[in-house]
Amino acid sequence: MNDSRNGWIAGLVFILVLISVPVWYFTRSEAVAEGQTIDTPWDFVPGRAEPVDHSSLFQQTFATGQEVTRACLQCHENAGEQVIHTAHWRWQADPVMMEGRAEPVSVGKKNAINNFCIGIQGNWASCTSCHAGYGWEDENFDFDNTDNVDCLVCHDQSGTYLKGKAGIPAEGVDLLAAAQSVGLPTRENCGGCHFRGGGGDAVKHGDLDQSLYYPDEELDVHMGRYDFQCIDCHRTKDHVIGGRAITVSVDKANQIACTDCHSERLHADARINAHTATVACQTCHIPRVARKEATKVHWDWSEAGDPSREENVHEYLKIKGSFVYEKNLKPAFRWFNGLADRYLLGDTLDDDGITALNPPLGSIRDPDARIWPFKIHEAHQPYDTQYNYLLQPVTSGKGGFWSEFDWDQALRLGAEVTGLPYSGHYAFAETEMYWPQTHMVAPKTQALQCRACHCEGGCLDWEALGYPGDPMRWGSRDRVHPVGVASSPTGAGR
Amino acid sequence: MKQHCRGWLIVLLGLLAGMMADAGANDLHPDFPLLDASGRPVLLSGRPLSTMRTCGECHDAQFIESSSDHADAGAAQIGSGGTRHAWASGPGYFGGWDPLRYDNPATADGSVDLDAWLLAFGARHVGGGPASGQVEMDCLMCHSDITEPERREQALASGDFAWANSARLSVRGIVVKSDGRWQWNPFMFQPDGTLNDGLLEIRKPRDENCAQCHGQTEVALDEPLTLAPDPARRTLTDRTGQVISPQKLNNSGLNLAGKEALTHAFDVHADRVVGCVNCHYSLNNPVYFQQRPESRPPHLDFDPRRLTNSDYLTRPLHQFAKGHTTYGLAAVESENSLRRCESCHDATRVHDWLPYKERHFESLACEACHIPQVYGPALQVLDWTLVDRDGLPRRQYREVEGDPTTADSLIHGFRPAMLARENVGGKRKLAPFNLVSSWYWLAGDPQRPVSREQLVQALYPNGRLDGDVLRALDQDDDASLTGPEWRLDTPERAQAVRERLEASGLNNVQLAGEITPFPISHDVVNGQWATRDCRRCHGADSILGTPFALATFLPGGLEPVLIGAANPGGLGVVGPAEGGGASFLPDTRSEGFYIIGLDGPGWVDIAGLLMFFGILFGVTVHAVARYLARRRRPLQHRPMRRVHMYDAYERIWHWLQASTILLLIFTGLIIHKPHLFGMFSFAYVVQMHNVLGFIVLINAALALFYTVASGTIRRFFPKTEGFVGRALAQAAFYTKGIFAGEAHPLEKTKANRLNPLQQITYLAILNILLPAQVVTGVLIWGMQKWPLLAAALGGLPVLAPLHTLLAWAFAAFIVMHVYLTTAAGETPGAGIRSMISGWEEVEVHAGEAGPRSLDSTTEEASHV
Repeated sequence: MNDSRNGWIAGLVFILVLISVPVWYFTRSEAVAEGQTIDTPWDFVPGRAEPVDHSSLFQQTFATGQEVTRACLQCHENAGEQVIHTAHWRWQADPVMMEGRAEPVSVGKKNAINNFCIGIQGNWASCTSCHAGYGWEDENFDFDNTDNVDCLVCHDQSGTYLKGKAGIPAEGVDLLAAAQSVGLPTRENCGGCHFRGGGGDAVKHGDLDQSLYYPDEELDVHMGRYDFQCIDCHRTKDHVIGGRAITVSVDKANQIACTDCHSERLHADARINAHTATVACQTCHIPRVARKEATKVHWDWSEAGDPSREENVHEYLKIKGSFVYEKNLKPAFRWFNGLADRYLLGDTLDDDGITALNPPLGSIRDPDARIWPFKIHEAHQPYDTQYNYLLQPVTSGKGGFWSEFDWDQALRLGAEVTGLPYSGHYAFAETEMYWPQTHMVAPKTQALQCRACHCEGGCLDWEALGYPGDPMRWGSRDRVHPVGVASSPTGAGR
Repeated sequence: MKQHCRGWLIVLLGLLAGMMADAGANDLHPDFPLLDASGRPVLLSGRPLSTMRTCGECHDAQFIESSSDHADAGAAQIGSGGTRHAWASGPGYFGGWDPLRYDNPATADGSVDLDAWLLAFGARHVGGGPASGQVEMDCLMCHSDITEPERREQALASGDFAWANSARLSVRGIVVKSDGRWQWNPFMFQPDGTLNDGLLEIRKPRDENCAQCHGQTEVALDEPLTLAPDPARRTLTDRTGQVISPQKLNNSGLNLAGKEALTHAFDVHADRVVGCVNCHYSLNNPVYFQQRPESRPPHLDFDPRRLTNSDYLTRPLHQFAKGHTTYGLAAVESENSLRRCESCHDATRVHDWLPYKERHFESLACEACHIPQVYGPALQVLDWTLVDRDGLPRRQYREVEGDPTTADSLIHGFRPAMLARENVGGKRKLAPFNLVSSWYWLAGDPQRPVSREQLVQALYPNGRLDGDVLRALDQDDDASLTGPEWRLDTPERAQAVRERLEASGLNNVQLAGEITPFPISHDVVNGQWATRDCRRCHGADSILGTPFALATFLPGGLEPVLIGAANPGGLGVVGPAEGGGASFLPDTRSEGFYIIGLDGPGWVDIAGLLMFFGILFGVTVHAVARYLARRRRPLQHRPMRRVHMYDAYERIWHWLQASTILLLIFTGLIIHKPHLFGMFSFAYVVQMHNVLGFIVLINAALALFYTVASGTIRRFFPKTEGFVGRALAQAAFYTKGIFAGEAHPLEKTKANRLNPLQQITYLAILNILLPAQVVTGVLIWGMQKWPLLAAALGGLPVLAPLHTLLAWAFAAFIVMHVYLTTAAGETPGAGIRSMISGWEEVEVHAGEAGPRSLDSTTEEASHV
């Protein structure tokens, strides 16, 4: 009797299994509708460490930034040693071999020349207000002294910390409050320097400006919709922060990519997936440069020093010359394999007029290269007409152009600092810098549509990219043979 | 001085225009002088441009014109019949008539007054063909980068036919009109009569060129699309709501409801840079040319002997691939020559998720799911019965609040009606349509539509609305017509206008109303936006089960008649709408479509319900009677013995079958009436039903094998001797004895446990009901695998109702079956318990060896 009592339960289970297993098996495909993507980005987003409340750990008064640092290093014993090997501290990368150069090149903000404020040499105190350290005011700064590491600039969460000349905390900053507030770096910490590159909001990058402190999702889907912080993508280990920019780097070790989290063929649409081998994600998903704040696209140093002109921070400043700012501009598209060439101090200028200081590398024939969006910044900056190279003027430094408005003197002083001879004859050369666009990713509904590039009227200069014509009709790079085609005439027709 | 300034201004404008035109210019087309009709450069002669002469220098302009449907516009078919209206001269644009363009330039003798036609319709005609004496075929209309039609329109409307084609060039300042005279601008020309570089681009037609006549488009992505105020400029949009633009709906300038979420392009093909001419190509374009199957040897897929490019460029056919239109009957020879979806897409490769894929492809045009909603304003009603002072009719747009061309309107978009459309190969498939209802007055003998002029003259004799008409329409007696007063929504009010028309001198005045179906095949969306919800068609609340609105009232009470080639089968009926007016109710069954969850003869369900509730009622009465009877008599105990009646396998088999059949009935009910069970996913339930069906089938097959192999199948077959007597005894027990508390008349043993009535029932169920249900079910499931087999048996229209009826029978059987288990044992639950445990207490019958001990019975039973 007992057997049959238990038996009916077994029978019931058996019957349920007999029915439910085949039902489940044959209906499970129903759940997988076409169009579902294999993209699971959240699986790759690292969690954020829970910050430790430091408010009870510090009671003493701090007279200098260095005192704070020493207090930090008491517990975070390795932190100082870690920081002093990073690019944020050294402003110079480890030497790497560059194509076309015999010697390894070690380049960074420390020695590079750009076409904004030109370079830091001779102008340290002004430029190093954004250095993650204290007291870099000349070439004698000690890069091995961990006391000078500025912990607070990245970790302060009080929002009151401010750096002045040579990176020294500004007058009146409450160092104790700052020290007590420390936590993981937020957009405010990174943005304090990076949103203001070039000496003001939105000047340099085109995709980084102060609108990213409180972005809406239209501006930046990661930060606006999901409240990403910079370090969610710029993952950091031992104070080495991920991410490289071709404006200061010539290698791409420790670079970041969309595909760190996103699947490369994530689009539901096969036609779009067919683009990912040749087109960077950024090209479609960052439809415009500087969507919120206007960014600088042109800087003419040659007009600086005119006391009669009216000053306006977006058009003309006596100390800097004239500018053009643009907003919501169409990016320039170039092949880019993640590396760039680099104009180094002393290199001769290009003969054909414009010298590119960091031209992106890659071509239609480079399988690693994709078409990327760039902001191009053009400038007229001083060069030596006899030696035919760019010169590093002293601008903010003592006796520099910003106080004396004397180019000859500024360039002479600059030459003393860099050791690069100055003939005494200068003029202004046309240069350009390439700024790859990678932040300010728009929601997918605002991604570029086909016709942004493929249209009958010619929306994109395909021939400049090495195609014989629009690849929609002429075929992608694996089908076309661009030898000799790129030079085909583009004469004006009827 | 003034003249001089203007000259420079023109030069400047020209240069500017030239610069703009330069982008993406067609480098290959050579420079050419603009010639007049006598072949002299217009620069020298000062005469109008002759496109035939100019382009004819290289291209065979005569051939092009003679092959051009656009030039001919149906003129060649005048007099050949085929018109839908007796008063039209021909079926095409030239000489044809439909209520949308209304004006009828056909004279009473069937010829067309060319001047009147050009004034009314010339702007939408390329010239040439029937108009060649007045207006040459305007090659530049389609082949130049000047896509603004206004200047040419103005010239035509003012009767300046000779200069109409030249007038287009005035946009760039190439020709200027001053003091009423057209003059060629010498600053724009080289000395040899060619135009300055970059001033005019000659190219293949782009969407903007086609859009001059055919409908609304906007190819720029960042210029929000707005509607042209003149409906004649957006004919395709006006008729169907189609807007052929790559622009995303949310970026357009239309005030669309829920716009923010509409992040797809109006038309995915426009988005993907597929232009009009990519599908509507020239029929001898060697790139696209495909020989028709009927003119091609069967072994040949592709004939490599193509036209050379130079042959084609000299004599390009200007007959273009086209679909199947219902409104224009012109160019029937190129009907269905168009690239259809299937010519480019292999839908079978990306629809694996779709249940019954082949079946759906068989019955549905791609457009049915891929044009789920149309967002441009489409006409719903065109009411010519009461025109305004300018002779304009009342237009009502589908799902639009307010005038769609104004900013304060709100456009909802509409779900197209589904009608059968004949595809290539004669296959009729459901495809989206818009239905436009129009009403108009006919008069005269023979009857013709009352012209606009006649209407205005009759209704506004002194510039004001006629007093009698006003009184008939003015409901609130405020001497003006506002809002809903402005309509002839009753026969009486229509009568007032009719009398007015008669009073103005017209005779034989009669009201006519018709519905024109316009197929929709543009504004396609990709899979992400296409219909995926089965319930859109399956169910009484689907687009096929609910009426498609036609009109909120019927002018003159006249129900419109559906016309057009798309609908000879009558895929629906026009009938009164809820709240007045008329609506169109799809009738898919009359076309041979049978849509699960929607179609099905009503009598099946009525019969099924009668059967089910009849039996339920019967057993309820029986049960109550038993209960009452039992209360009246003392409880009696009979000698019983326990028998092991049901083997483990039999019990498993029984309960498995019971559960699956119950689930089948339930899921079947959901599939049958999906609108009553909105919370279930239709596709999932269908799949579940199929799986359950196969479980029943396999379970039944295994049981058959078991009973045959074990020989127990014999218990189902009644012994012939004494069968009638035993059956009657059993029947008497159910009808009488059971109430008196009598014992079961027949002995129940393991080997002989079915009484004669059960034997008959089970024989019927297992030999008729179950096999029939399984066979119909498998055939329905296999519709797409063996469509011919199912079709041979009558297809879904026979199989599906049969399956439903049998399901009702099963449901009724279950009621009876469960009830009778309560009569099996001493207590009502005993029968069910025995099917669970296998052990049953049965009465000891006479002729047996008397009561035995339980144990020995057990022993014995287990050996039977």
